[in-house]
Amino acid sequence: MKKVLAFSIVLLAFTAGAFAQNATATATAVIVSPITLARTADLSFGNIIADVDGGTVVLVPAGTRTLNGLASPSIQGTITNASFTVTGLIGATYAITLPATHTISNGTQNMIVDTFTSTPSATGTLDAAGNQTLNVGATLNVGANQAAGTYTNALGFQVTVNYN
Amino acid sequence: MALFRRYLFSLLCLFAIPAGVSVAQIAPPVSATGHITAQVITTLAAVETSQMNFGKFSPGPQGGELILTPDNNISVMGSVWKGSGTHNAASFYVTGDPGVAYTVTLPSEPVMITHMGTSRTMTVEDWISVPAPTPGAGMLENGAQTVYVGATLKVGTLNDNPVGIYTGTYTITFDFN
Repeated sequence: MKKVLAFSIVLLAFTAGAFAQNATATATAVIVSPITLARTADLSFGNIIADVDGGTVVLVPAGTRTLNGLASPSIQGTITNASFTVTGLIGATYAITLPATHTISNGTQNMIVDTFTSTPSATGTLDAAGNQTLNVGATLNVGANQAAGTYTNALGFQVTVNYN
Repeated sequence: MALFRRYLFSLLCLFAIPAGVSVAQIAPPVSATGHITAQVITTLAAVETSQMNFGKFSPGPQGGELILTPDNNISVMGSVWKGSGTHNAASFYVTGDPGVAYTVTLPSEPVMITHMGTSRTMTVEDWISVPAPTPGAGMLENGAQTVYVGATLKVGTLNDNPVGIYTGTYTITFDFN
């Protein structure tokens, strides 16, 4: 009988310890808020004068463009970078995935948009409010004697963000 | 033995509960779609379809001027006698995309025309055009428009401007406004 009683005391001590562990574990559970991405501005290369040998238009994420092999028209048109708002966990880093190429058309002729760039580049960091603006630029390839018209793609191009 | 089972159960709870409440939620990647536009425009082209020509005239003792309007009327001021023969306002045929507005820019300073054989000169100034040289006044209704240009020729005395042919060049610019 004496031995049995001794075991009972030990058992009570472990039971109390088990409940204490339970409380600690609940406090360390982590819920991650989902990352979201919303477009705030589309990308517009502005006006381009077609010529016999074509050229490229490089639009940087800051929204300025450089014409290579093309004359600058006096009416520049609307020149804007694409812009997105990323929201999520405060201070979290995330990976940015940009398209490789994108085709825009005036209905009869196409132009290829490639060399997409962004600010931040490749990896972003959400600020103290859990936000960051993601600006995107790209390069437009204008062909020789490119037909006049408005070139676009209704399907749009896709930008993806993912927590690191 | 019942007490031993309770002991064992408590131990199991000790390890099992923390594993059960630590839930890590995986956030999926998200995408957004943007659109791209670019506007290709045809550059303006212009050809001279009629050269500016003040025709034949004779300077008098005081000199004077010949005023040539874009609609090809010529008038004389001062001691200048306009002879017979042709005169022409200048005209240019401008082409580009239909419905595009553009601006005509005329010479802002007097243009010199020089006597063939001597270095005597006359000046051509007060340039005017139809459409007017104001921003966006030109319009390529069907992808083309004719621009008519006139000016005033300042003529010196016969001593200043001997008989002969005077020629010169000027630049007129057609550009998107």
